[in-house]
Amino acid sequence: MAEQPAPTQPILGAPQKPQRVDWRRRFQWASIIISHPQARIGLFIVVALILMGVFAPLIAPGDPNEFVGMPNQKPGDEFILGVDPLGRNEFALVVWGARVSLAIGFGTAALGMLIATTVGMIAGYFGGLLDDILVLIMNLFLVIPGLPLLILLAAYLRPSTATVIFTLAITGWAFNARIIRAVTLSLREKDYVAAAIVAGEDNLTIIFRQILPNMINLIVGGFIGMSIYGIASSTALAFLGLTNMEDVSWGTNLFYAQNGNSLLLGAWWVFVPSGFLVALSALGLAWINFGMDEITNPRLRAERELRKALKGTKLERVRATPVIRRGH
Amino acid sequence: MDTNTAPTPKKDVVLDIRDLYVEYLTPRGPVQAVDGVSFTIGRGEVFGLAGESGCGKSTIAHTILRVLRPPAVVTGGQILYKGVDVLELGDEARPAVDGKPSWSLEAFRWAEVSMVFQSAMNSLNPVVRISDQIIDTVVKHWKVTPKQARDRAAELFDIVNIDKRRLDAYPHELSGGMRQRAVIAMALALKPSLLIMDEPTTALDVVVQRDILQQIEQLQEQLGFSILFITHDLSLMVEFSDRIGIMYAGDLVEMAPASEIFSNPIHPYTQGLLTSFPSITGERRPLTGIPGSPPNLITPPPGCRFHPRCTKCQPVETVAAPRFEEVLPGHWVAVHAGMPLPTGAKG
Amino acid sequence: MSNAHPDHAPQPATEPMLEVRGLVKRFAVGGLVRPRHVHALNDVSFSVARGQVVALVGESGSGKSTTARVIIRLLQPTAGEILLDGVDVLKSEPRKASLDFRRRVQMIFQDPFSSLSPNHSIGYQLERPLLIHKRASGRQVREKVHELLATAGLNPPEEMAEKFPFELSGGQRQRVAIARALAVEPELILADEPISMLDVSIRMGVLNLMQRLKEERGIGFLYITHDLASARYIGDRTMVMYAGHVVESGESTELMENPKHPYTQLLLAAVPNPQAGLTTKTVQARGEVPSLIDPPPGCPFAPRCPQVKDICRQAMPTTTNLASGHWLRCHLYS
Repeated sequence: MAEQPAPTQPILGAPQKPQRVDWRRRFQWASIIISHPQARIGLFIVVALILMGVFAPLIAPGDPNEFVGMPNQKPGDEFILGVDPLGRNEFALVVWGARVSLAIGFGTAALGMLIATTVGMIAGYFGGLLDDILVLIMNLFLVIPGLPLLILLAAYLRPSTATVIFTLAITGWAFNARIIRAVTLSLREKDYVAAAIVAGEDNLTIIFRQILPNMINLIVGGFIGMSIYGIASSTALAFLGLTNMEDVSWGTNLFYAQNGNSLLLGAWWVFVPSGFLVALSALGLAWINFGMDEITNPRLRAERELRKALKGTKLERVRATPVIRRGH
Repeated sequence: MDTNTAPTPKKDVVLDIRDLYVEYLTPRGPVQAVDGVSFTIGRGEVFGLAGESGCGKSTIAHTILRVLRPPAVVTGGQILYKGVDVLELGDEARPAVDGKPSWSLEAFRWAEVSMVFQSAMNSLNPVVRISDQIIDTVVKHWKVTPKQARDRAAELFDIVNIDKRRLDAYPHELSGGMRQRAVIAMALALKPSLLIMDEPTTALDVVVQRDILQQIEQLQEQLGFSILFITHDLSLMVEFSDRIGIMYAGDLVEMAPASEIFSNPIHPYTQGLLTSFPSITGERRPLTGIPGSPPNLITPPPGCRFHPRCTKCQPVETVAAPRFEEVLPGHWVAVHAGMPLPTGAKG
Repeated sequence: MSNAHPDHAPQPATEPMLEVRGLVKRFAVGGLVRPRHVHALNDVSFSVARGQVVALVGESGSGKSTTARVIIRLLQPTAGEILLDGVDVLKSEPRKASLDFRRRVQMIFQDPFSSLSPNHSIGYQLERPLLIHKRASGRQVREKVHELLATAGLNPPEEMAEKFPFELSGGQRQRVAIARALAVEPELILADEPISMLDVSIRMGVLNLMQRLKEERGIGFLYITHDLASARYIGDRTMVMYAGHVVESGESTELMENPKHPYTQLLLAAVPNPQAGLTTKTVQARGEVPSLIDPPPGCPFAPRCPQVKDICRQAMPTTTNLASGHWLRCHLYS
């Protein structure tokens, strides 16, 4: 039987004023992120890096491109992270680099998810010939090798931040589009969508009011995933010299490190910090996504809560129903 | 089916559940899923446990086999199977005491008590042939050769009326009814003395349902095992059980021979339940069902758990828990002070 | 008001509200080179009079749910006609169902847990049909929503409107679904197994609500179920489907006391019925429902029928009219 006892009061407390939309459920992902320990740390890392980029003028005042001293000086009293092969303050470069790197990452994610969601939902909801065509396009973009396409596009288009974002979004949207299409297909078959059709709702309303809200978790998760892709790939492109070299980003820092033979010279302070921050931002974003996994797979959350409830008792691993006698 | 009005004599009792309490630990507090339930099943008897969702019947079934996983915990009572408390069994066999056998849980499960679950697809591994699934079980328990185990599997298929040539099929190659019969064959593989059936036919068509239950009846007469039959379909249960226990919100509220429950229900919940089943013959009378819905078992209603929905009992008893008593010979009801009882009944 | 098969009975004085003729639905499955087809519905014809409850009974695979989805136009039939008050809607609005159609014919679904949108309040979900069909505006909308909730037995309506589906029990959700269907003041409601997923003690309440709506508002129901007992309880007429065909139809009690088609007899013998005495009946049930993929010609029940004749395997029987609106398709009678 599918019937469950109705709680005598709502589980999370009664809504305070009349609401149309279940905001608690819509923003479930936010509450998960805050409660999941790994996701919390990930969030902290990402927010810290964003703040670092935003407040760069305060943390490392001045123009990071400015020539400040002898190239390749070791970190010391005057320069916390030393000087790079072009004579610039490495610390400033690393701090200011966050701006462009993160901006490209999130920009890619925003544009990429916009395309992915639009294409995925249209393909999934309308089906038929439209779906076949869109799936073909999706598969095309999936099959084309990413990096060569990136290099090709970046080499032909005038290098700039916008170009990079555009290029990365174009090569990366198909992955999430497939997932969104699959979920749309399954949500379309739900009874409440059928009920909406029967009530006379038009397609657009159904897509935005019935289907989209159930995919917010997926879209946020996809956004975070694409951000990692954006940051890492733009760094790779910059390292190859295919972006605007006048920008200060972690990728360009690494380019100049390579150009200035920093590895050979043992000038670790030139490439380690930028590389480390790229890895750190990817780590932080990935950990946030681990928390998001709990939404797509509620069992994970149930298991985590169960372990919490059973903490202290010896019931964690048993093969038979445990017996703990109490007085009755 | 024979109606059995006399209480089961002691030595013929296969299962004796005494005062069983089971809880589920949740972050919001413990759920009192089974609240002091006692009943017995005799040799060769079909005992039906009826109730709606959340009443605890499935919990009891799984607890008998000790297959409920945490956060479920047994917090009191005894489950005596052939005199041995199942709740005391462990992973190793203990020395026999007083001439009573003492099994390990592994020896107990399936060889003494086995279970048929609601959906056959839950019990059958979709990527393993049926024959292999039976052979694995038999070889493990009986220490026989695979050839002998295969013979046993063929024998079982005969018993449940499936063509022996389908032995090597995968579950998805069989129809729904055949799958359920294969599951029954697996449950009977080791000649258990007690077969628990948890909603065995709910997912099946009514014709297949009757076919399978008839089969089980015949098997039971041949092989002599007892059955604990769990379902929410009271009309089905009345036809196939000897005695019936009605559960509500973790409590056993009435227990009597099947015909008695149907012709003379005493507890208001049973009476309400019987007004929920329209019939295909007889006069068409308006039926009402029971207003309201089952309670939240984290904070169940005090005293009689049915009182918020009960229309019979005035004044409403909300303090003392009802006592489960034999108000007529063989007919037990959870009574509390002030409850209307038929004449001749001891209140 | 007679409800006989249109081909054989004298035409009734007033047209039936809903009439379906020769509905066929096939689904293509697999095989790019030679696709096979599931014959979900075959030549299904029946009518529902105004304010009448017709029960459509069948086991899984019988086509009863497909029939509902075709009538409500969630699926496009392969062939056939759907007439509302004599007008074939498949011809008058071929591409998409008009708003008028959606007002006149509504549907309740089987699973109370998935037929309500989990993200919106009950009030919102009841408002939508009112707004779409312009049944109310402004202040009136809220009042109408409360009225609907009260009619469906959900009290107090003001509180209920603010709740979300997860806060309600299955029975309450099904009542919300009924309230939603009522919002547009339909003439016909298709109820696809509305109580089979509810707790037993709650089912009668929902059925009684449907009964009341029929009596007080003259709404017709097509009640789809696998449970003969509830079909008899609420249905004025009962139709029995098997493997995509309607095999027998008649007034409910009469059908169940005098079933003529061997399948109907099999069904009735198989239903648990403690009132008929506690002896368990043995039922001669051979085989199971046949595959619907490219079935062989003839009556689909032939493989299992205890009274099968040669002709049964060759041709599908035509409709035979017995007394007073009881008709069936069986070679034993044609």
